[in-house]
Amino acid sequence: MNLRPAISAPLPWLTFAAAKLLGKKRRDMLKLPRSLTITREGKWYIGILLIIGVAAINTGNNLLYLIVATLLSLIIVSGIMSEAVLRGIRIERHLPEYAFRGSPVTIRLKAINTKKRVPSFSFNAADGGQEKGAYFLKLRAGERATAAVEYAFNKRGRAILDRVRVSTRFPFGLFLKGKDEVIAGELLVLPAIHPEKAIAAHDSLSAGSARAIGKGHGTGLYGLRDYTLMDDSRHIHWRSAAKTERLLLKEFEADASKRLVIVFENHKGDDAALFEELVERAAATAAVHIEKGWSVGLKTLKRELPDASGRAQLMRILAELAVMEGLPGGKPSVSIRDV
Amino acid sequence: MAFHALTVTYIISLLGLWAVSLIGHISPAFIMFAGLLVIISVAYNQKTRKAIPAGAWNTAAVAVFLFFLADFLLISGELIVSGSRFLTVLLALKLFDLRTGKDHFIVFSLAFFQILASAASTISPVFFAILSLYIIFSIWALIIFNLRRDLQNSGLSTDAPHDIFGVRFFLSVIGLSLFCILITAVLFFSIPRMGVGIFERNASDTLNVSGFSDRMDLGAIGALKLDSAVVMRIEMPDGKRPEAPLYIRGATLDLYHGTGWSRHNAGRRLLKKEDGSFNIGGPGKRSVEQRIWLEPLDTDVLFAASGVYRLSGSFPNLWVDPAGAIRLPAPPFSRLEYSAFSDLSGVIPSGPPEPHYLDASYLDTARDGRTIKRLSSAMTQGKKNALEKALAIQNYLRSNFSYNLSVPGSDGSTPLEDFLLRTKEGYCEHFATAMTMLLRASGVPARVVTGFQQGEWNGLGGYFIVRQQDAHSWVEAYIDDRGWMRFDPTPASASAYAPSVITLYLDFMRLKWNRYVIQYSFTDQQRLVKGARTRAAGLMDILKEPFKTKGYSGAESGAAVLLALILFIAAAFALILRRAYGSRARSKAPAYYIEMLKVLEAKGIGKLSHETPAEFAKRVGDPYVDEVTRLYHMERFGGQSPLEDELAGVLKALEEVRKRQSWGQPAGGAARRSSR
Repeated sequence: MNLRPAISAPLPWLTFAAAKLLGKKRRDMLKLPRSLTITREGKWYIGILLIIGVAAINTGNNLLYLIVATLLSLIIVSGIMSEAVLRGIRIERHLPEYAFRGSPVTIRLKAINTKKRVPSFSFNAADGGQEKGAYFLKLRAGERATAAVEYAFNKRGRAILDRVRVSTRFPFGLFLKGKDEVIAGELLVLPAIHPEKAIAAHDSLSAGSARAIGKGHGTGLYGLRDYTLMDDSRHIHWRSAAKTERLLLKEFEADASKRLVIVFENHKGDDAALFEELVERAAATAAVHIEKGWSVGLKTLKRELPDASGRAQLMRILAELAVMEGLPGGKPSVSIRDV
Repeated sequence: MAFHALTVTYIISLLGLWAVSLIGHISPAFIMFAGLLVIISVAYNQKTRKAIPAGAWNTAAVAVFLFFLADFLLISGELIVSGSRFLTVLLALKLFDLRTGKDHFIVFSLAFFQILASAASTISPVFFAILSLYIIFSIWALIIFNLRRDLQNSGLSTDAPHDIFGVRFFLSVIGLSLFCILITAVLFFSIPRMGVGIFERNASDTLNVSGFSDRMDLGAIGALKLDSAVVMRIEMPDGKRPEAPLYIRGATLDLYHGTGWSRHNAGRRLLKKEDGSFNIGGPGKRSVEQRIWLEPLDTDVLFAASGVYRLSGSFPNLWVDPAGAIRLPAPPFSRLEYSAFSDLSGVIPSGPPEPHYLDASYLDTARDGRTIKRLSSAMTQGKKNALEKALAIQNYLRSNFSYNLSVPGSDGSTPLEDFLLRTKEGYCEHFATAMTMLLRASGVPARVVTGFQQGEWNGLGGYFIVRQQDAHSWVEAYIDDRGWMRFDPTPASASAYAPSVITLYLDFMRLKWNRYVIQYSFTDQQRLVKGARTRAAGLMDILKEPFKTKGYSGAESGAAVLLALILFIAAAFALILRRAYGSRARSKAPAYYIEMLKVLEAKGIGKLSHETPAEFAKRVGDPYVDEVTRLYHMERFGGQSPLEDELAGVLKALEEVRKRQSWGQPAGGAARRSSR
């Protein structure tokens, strides 16, 4: 549900000014426990209220004063009821370990109504900066419910999720009241992988340097080990199994001819977009080649990951690329080279 | 429909229609027509509902707007009346086009503006009933439509689960509405009345009360005698009904011209306001105070019990004529509230009257009026003075003439001749005219007074309800050495009006409604504040009493009470802050976390002073420690109290930590003792 506020009420201006004076650290101390924004309908409502108020003053007609009082009382009741909805609502967030930039990732938000008697109606829970949130229609006293919601992160790196905003337009839709639930959480936003951006490598890249480099997706037998349920049953060494009465799995040597290192000269440069483009190119190169069974390494200006194959290596490279920052100096560039 | 949207929309539409029916110049026929459209639309929405093209609706809307313009410019000429008719027709048409939530919302808005129009033009207490019902159903409507929109925005089905809008929901809405009405009442009485009133509204529905102007034709009051509209309410501040009957005096008429009366224009005197009151004469022997609420009348005469000597109210100035009639500078066309003090002795002290009070012209068809003069002489034969003559004439008329509102037609003679010589039937005007002219014929100065009889006594509020049908006229005769004495020659009417208890209750409510809602003013607010201040002072005295008994001075006692009050307010404020900022204000770690640290320390794994709880948990590397730490984070920094099952889980985890003998990854070497 998109509960984007129309305008912000000028309630916290004094607090904001005080927080500016006192410094950032004390801002949380002075922050109002609830935020309040006026919806489009609320603006109409207040506009009509003001017009009738002026008419009441000008005519001295007490029945118009009565209508003004009624409209004001509805605002008060709205405030009380929305507070009743938000009070006692606790949110738990379950995050995956990582997400890819720009791709939706499913987050589970659990809402718990800790109140003893009062139910909560029609509220939304979402992390700051996220358009979508989890909507809960009704949560009885003591009840809990979980909703899955898709978040998208548009910036690679560590995404710090420090609070969930619980907001409601209940009961009349005139105001959007919210509160922040402080829930520390973090996930790694990996670069987006677009295979078409990968730098193509040729088998000849590693010609002449063939040597066994350990386990991999090559054709030579590296060794045997016990089979686990996670393994591919096609690689069970049936002959040994017959002999030993144990399921043994064939492990292969890495293909010594398919090795490369992605060299990322992570200079900051002038163009931030170009830098991000190069990060994605490096990520795509790593993903495409590891998928094809290559052994891939990463070399940046500060760190070096030795080449290896397999999903774990891909995650290592992507994690490194996710947190990589530009360093002062010349222009950034990405290339691949032979190990 | 789970939301009952159609039901609530129709209820609100009918409330709008009801509100419009309160507007004076809107005829019942129009309301019935609109009601018929509403009924037809119900059938349309239930059965034969078809999508009508937007173009057709736009054309209809333009036609209705043109009708509104024509109504305003050519027919009614009043914006509120024509505007209300426009809103009503528009609403009835909109009921045929209820497709989306927005359509329903437009109906609610139109109904609201109908109620607003009604507020601008009615004073009926029924308005409050309509407003209260509108509050209930609009709260219902706003909640369900807001929920429906939230559901739509969230991408879920708009059919709400059935258990949301059950009986409990409806009861909650009722409770909420009552609470809302309570807050409305508090706000209504608290909002300052600016008293600007640049466009102050005149009551459009003033009562037409002929007979209180400068001229009165015989028979004018007769029409009023059939009208039960309330003209005024007179409250006796002590709540007791006076023993003597009240004659509510209005105008005096002293020039008879054969078919009616007029007033001798002998100038009038401007009354000066002194200490908030207008003084007309000195207090009498049988003084009585009245608080009068006068409905909007088309006359400038102010009414009060006969013998008024002081009057106070929010009038800029008042005039009094030589005959004692009190007049405003102009007809007010709005409700008036004022207090009057009258002497109920029935005598108005005065010097010798002017000669025109003896004018007995137009007595009968004979120019010298010999027939009636003969009749007067016969009635007053043997009576020595004016008082005896007046009493004789009064008794004769009461005994020999009868009261009848249906006066037979004339045979060509004057009305007075008809009454005295032929029909011998009539009502107060005839009796008063006859007695005045008979007195004048016998040489006693006399005049006719128009006003009202006291009406019905309402014991619930201690006041009289005076209606049009209580209009009355009587006689004032000048009696030497006394002044103008009141005589009432009209015999009692056979059909006295006896109101039912329900009528009295309803009228009492109407009085309170007029008094405390319609006419609530800045003065009332000042009175309320003054009363509150007095009560606060009384409370302060009670609070100071214990200090005084211990020998403290008044100022010291006051300071002590003030200090106590400040402390009390500060404590309450602190409590509120603690509740609001409780999560941030709490600084102590929860007991279970401290307990876990103690247990771990006893096992040789102490938390380092620079370590955060998360770092410490990571170093310990135990799932139970992780669990306790997670809840600790949630409670300490998330401001969330743990649920019962979570707390039970943590205690279980703590127990596991106690039992644990070895640890996966103890801290690098021995852990130092640490202070948290």
